[in-house]
Amino acid sequence: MSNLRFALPSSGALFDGTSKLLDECDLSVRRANSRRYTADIPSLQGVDVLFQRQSDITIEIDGGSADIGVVGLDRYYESRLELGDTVLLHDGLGFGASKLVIAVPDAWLDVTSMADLADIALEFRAKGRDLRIACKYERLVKRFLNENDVNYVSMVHVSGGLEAAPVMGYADIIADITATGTTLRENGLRILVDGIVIESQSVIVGNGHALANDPEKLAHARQILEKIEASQRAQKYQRVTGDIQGESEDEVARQVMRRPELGGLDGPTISAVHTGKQNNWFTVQVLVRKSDLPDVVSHFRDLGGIGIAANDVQYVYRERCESYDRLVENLKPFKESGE
Amino acid sequence: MTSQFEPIRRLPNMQDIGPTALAERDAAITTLRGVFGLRGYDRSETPILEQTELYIRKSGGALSSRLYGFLEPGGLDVSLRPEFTSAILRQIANTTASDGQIRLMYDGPVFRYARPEDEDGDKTRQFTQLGAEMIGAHAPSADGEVIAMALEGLEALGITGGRVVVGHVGVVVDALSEFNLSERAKLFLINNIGELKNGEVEEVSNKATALGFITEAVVDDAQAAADRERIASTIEQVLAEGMGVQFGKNTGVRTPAEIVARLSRKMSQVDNPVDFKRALDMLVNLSQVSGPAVSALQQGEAVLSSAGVSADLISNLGEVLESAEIEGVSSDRLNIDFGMARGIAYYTGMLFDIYLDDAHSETLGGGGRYDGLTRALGYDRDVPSLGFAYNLEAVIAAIGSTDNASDEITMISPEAEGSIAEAVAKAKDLRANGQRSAIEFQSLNDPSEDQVT
Repeated sequence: MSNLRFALPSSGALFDGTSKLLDECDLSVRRANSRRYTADIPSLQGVDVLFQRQSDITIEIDGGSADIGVVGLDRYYESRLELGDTVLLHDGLGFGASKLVIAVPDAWLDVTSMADLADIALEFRAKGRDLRIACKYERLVKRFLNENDVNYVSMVHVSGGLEAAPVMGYADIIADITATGTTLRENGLRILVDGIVIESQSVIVGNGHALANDPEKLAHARQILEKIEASQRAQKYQRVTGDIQGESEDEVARQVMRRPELGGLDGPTISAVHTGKQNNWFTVQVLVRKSDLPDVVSHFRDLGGIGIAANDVQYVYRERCESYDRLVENLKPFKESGE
Repeated sequence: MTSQFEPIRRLPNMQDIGPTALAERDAAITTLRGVFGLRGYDRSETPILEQTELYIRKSGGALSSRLYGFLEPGGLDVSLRPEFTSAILRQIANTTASDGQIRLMYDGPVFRYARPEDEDGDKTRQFTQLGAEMIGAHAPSADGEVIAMALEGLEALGITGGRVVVGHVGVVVDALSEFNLSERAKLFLINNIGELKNGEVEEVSNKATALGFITEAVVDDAQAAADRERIASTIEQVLAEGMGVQFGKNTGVRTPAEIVARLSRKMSQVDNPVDFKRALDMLVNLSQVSGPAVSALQQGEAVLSSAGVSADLISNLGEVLESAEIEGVSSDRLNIDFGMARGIAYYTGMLFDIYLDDAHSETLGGGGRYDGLTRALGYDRDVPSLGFAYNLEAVIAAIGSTDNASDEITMISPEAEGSIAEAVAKAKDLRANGQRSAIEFQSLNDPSEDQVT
């Protein structure tokens, strides 16, 4: 039994996104100063936060020196060891969206698709050289190229500034991470129409062995997943309240439920307004999808509703936490028997 | 006492195989070698390790992305074999110039990697293939022989419910050739036939749109001519002024002339979106045709005719099925599936999968005709060839329980016999009579301690 070691990216877009997400979930990280690589979460005892380089997090979790962590899906697929014990806990935190793409020099007017690239690779081969590709995620890229019959390639390792490789002449094409494609365009590179290797965003991964065999760690991981899931769901909902006149709670409920699709996540909550006079006003409260808000407002108006207001909610919990249920299922193979 | 080291785990999706399973496999291999041997097939073996290029030349992305490839100590890019056919053909093309048929059979482990999240991500990554290749046979009756032999082998193992589903790459290629499409467009359609069969027409259409095969805009002839003129003048300008002036950007190791030459080649093969759409529609319909041979052949002919394609294209498939029946395969064991997709791209004609009972079970193996493979491998002639392989583990699972358990071993204790010399002598006597026997040596462990496994 020990603390859950939670690895977070120490810098970059994933650091910003993670901090924001944890703040929204009341799981803010307390760090003595920005040079410290350990921290804690005051609202959740039993969790040690470790700030790690993004590229190391999967490896740390694979090796068991961290229990769960936030990484980019692309980096996870690239660097996980299949013999290792990582499992996916949450498959989309909603930030750090990026694509790993194949891009060619803009001046290669004749090359627009992967099929063209396969052709070019053969042409290069006929001339006795390989198509050189500068890339960061070699495993993902090599497989993608093979899948698309681009076979005669050599990988050129470049750390940072991939976009310059074709101009500098040490590669012919590149595979790089891009969010908007702007940097690629500005460097005279063009993404092939079907050249998307992987669409990525931030995810949570964990060490299956550690979570399956340490109930305390699992319980802490569960709390984190529950809050994230409820908070993400809450972003899609708003609570709408309004006062509607009627003979009884039941009668108001029937009126509201004439449009059942606007009756809220678990049906309307209805309570009498006590003004001291006989007036038959009831406050109706529904939790609805944000996209349904205009419809709900006009539905309330049609029922003579007044004082209609909408509020954001911080968490929306359902009967079960889906990501936790999935995790429990995924942990089964890791369970050590006889203990 | 614990070790300072972690135990070493077996690689994921690899199997250890114990005595019982090995005995089953040996027995099955012996039976199948016997069946193929009677039909004139001789055994052949190729290295497990080959140059990676052997498998990427013509195998297609579905297989080449699954190779276990690495740089060997001698600096060569090599791969564990994912299948035998390419290596068998390399061997043949290297060693013979015979005009007659060569019949070869083989068995051994093959290796295919799949990511955990792939559809077959939980399948074993090493499995055993046992197969046969007939090299130098063009006639459809050779196809019939191979199909019949595939079922015959199963019967010899006691599997009577085997059936085959037959497709035909040649029919699809020939039909697409009637639509005046570029090689690129044809290849795209052929590569997506599996998706079309699964009803993913919209996905394929979207891909085709992204690649420019389908255009939303109505292209009339005048507009197309204007487009061509505009692009031609751009090329002319580029040629005159040089790529550097026009685009101010790098072309890498490719020269502007090379780029322009290929672009104009590509433009001369631009597909008419209307033709492409017609071909796509035809293929959508054709890919849905499957079922008992006779009715499926008729439906296939109807699809081709209504698309304005000669229905004669199907005649080879008809002949193949007929010859399988001549070989004694009853027609109810032959099904057709025009939408059959194969992960390996070298097939050129008939291709088939072997199933137990219904087509939704796991395939027991498959094969087909690959007339163009020798040329693709660098030899100067096409050799009409075909073959198939079983997935031996799947075949053995289909046999069900068998009685291949080894005979019991008689253990002889030196203590009971009085001395080690007498125990050895007794064991020898038993072995001389064909009985398995072994000496029961004392364990190193303190008898009070439990046996450590």
